[in-house]
Amino acid sequence: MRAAFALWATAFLFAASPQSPAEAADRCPQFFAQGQAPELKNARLAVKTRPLCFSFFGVLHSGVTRTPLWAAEHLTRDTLRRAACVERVNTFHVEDRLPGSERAELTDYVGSGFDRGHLAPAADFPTDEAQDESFSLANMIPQEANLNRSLWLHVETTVSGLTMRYGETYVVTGTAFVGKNLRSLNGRVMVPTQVYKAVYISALEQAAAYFVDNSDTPDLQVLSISELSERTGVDPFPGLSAAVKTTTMKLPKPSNRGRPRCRPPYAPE
Amino acid sequence: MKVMTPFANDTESQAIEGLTIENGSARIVISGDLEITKDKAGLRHAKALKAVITEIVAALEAEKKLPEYADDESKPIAEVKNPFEGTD
Repeated sequence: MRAAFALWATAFLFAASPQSPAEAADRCPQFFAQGQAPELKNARLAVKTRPLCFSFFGVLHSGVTRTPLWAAEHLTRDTLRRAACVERVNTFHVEDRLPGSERAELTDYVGSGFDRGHLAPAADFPTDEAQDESFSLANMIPQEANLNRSLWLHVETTVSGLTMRYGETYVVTGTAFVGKNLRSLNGRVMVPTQVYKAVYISALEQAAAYFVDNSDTPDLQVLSISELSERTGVDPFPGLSAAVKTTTMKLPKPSNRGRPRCRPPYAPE
Repeated sequence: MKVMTPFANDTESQAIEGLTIENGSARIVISGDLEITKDKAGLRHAKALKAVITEIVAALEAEKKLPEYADDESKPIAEVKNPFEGTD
């Protein structure tokens, strides 16, 4: 655990040093369960990583894959109710806090056949600014279109539903890169082999993760946090006890039910 | 509500409740689902959807040489070695 923490700290310092002093404030424990950022168990994952904080989520970006490795959010009933009333046209954009050599460009994705899949979904965010931030390519992975547009959308919606039911959740959405070779966009942006969404419900003191192949015919699994860490090399909730991590919380089958409707006092005129 | 400019860029994304409309120079993708309820909110959503569709139709009709079917333009996918696996 200490080694993994050191990796996080190193990554943070590395990110902070060549950039603006504002980067020094770039830590966002408010998005993490117990205030603890996800830990990288596989040291190789830590190469060229940079933590980035946004107004409602935090990301660990890899300059090796040119994708995020994870995005962390603290969802509450109130922010989701406000988010339901945000209506705007957003714009996918390059993350200019990242050096050119480490980031995905818009041209990497265009015509690739892959969707730009959000890790932290725009629909979770209660302000125009936060929704716009979620369209940073630092929050995007090359995701199979059919997965992004149906099953994964339902996973996001169902986690919103859990938040509405239990009041608040901590959510870490991330990637796995498994196998000898990986697909890539332009030889630059690596395509994750799996994606996951880990959920901790503080009211129940229980956690589990949806885990799915990044494929057009995805087979969804529900894993304990410890099993997820084994498979991905990332522990999304290092602050949780071993008992919580090894027990798989029952997660509902993903469906299109779970987002609140836009209602007063947040509804537009 | 602001409406996207169809086929003008590969960056705009508009949400109408659970529906996502993603702009593109070669294609526009509409995904997700939208329940149009029989109330003022439903009317607002229906009008927003109509506004986008109207813009899309106008943009296509304004094209001088619209092919019967556009070619599928997907770029080839390159394989790279997984940097996170194997021995040092």
